[in-house]
Amino acid sequence: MTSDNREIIGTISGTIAAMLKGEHVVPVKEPAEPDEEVGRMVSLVNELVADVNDCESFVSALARGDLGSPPPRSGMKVIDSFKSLQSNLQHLTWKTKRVAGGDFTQKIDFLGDFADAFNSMTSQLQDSFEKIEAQNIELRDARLEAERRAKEMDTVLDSIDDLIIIYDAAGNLVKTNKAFSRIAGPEEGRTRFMIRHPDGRPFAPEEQPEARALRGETVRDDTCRMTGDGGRELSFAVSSSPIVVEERISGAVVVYHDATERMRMEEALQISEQNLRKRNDVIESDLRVAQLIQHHFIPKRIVPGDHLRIDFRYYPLDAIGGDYFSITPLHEHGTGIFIGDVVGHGISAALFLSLLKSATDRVCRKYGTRPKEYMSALNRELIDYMNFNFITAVYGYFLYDESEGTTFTFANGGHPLPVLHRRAAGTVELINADGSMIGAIPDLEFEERRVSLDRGDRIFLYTDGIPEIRNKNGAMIGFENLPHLIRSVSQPDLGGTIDAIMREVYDFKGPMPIEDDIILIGLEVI
Amino acid sequence: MFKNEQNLPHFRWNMLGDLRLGRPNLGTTTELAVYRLMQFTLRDVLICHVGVEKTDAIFFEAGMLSGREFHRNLLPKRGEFNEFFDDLQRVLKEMKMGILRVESADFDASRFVIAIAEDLDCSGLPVCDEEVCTYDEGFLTGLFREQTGEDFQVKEVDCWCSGDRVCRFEIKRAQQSGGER
Repeated sequence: MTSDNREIIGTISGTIAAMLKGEHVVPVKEPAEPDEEVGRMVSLVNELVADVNDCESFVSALARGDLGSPPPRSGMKVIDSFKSLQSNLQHLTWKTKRVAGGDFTQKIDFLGDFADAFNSMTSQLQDSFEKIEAQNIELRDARLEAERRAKEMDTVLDSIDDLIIIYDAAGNLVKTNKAFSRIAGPEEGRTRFMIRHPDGRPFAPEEQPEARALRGETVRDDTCRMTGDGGRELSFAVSSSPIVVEERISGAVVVYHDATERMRMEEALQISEQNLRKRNDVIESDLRVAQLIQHHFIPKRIVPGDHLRIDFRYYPLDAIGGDYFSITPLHEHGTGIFIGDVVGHGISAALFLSLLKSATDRVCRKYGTRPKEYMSALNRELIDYMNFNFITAVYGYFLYDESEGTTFTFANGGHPLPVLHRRAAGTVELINADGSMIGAIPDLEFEERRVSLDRGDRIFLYTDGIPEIRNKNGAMIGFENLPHLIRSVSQPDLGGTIDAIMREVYDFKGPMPIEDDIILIGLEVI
Repeated sequence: MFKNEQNLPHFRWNMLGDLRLGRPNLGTTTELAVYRLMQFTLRDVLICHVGVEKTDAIFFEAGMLSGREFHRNLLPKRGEFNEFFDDLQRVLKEMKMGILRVESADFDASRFVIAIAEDLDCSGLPVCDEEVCTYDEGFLTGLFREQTGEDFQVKEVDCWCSGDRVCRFEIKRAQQSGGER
């Protein structure tokens, strides 16, 4: 072996040793004139050096994550494995990008443990994604439902004329309805939205309805005033309530009801009521005077006659009634008696009674002994003044004649019928004479009837307050029952009989009030 | 069906026949060796008759026709490349044709690099300098044309064997390469 060959073999040995140590190696320099075998060996060693260096560069790039480096052209088997590794890593990178793009259905096949781990990861991501999606759908549905309810609430709030304000727990205004802007002006101008007490004092901060509600109070119809949009002075009934969520006060709702018009009307009503009360006082005073005058018209006592005993009971209502009667001695043996009932009460009835008294006095002087003419004349006298009033009345004339005894001649103008009680015979009857109410028809004519009376016989005249009186069941005594009632309570004494009749009447009505004047007159032949 | 002279291919999917009906006992699958026996012997004889270059052209064209019909009949028509790759990967695996792995995808540039392991045509063959995946190139070209309506250039750029054999293909829109095949 030549020294040159020995030297080249040493260089090759050093190069291989360096490669085995992992050192970077360079190609072996060929000798100037190598033997064929030596030249062949150097060439193969240098090809190996180049492949190892290429392989090292490729694998280093892979280790750094550089997956795009071209694989070496070497035919070494190990390179194929690295190519597979590079291909798989690139594929994994692409799959991972797909997953990163939101496609969790990605799977990897035939890559051993890595495929299992990757597929498990994407499955879990898919599950998580589906759960999140389901939660997102629930949240979206909940948000849409909340928005729908909020719109419903806005619609409801805006449709209410009352001013509604919602505050958060810190007392900040968070929501108003359209009435707010309409009444208080633009929301940003709420600095003017300062409420005052009715006497003008401003509400202290702690008195504000929202502050009270946030303390847990419920305010109902407190009154306040404020200056509204355009400087209008407004009155409000204010209510407020806390908004309680999970046992905590999370806010407050305050409702201002515009009571300006109502209060203005109440004030006007109060003034009107005061005026009416004054006028009523005047009227009542007038009524008291009229009542005194009316009472003055009614006979206070009866002058006893030789042949006729007369007694009566008069029970007027507190107000002025329309009942009237008069008893007029016409001559030594004759007495005229008038009983009438003006339809209506009050001032007009009182005034009309004045007219009636003067008319009956005047007519009685001319027709006192002729009841038929009396009634016709009274109708003529009054008809022009009776546009709205009517009178029911009976006029009767008692006459004692030594040859004929006592007679009762009467005419009836629509009045309850007189009751004739013949005590000796024990009979009681209603006696009638046809005739219409006075004041309804001009030139009215009346039937006249005469009945002969024996000593002890009694005639009872009365107003409808007796037969029409009602008990608690709404029943009346009734006109047809009155004769029986009179006979059943009859006593020897006329006054006692009248009192007994009135007791029966009062017992019948019980606790029910008297709704009409009552006059009961008894006349007994002696 | 195959006895008429013609200048243009007439193949349609239904010309495969009803495989389920026709093979009620043996089923629709067969040994891979049988498939390769037919293809390799056909290739061998064709080279003898028309030479290597012409044979490669025939195989490429047949692969392209196959890719078109494969897409029309087995892949759902979906517009996105991601979905296309997912469907293709699934169907290739279901039909035991190969394991498709997308290594890179530049959608804007319409440039893709894919690898197919355990390929139907070449897995198990020794790695050599010869490109034996001409049929696959045509198949992929047919698939992409059917998918996009555009011409694509498909080239096998590498292959290796680390137990299973893997072929790497570069696929790009034909215009980008200035009208190359």
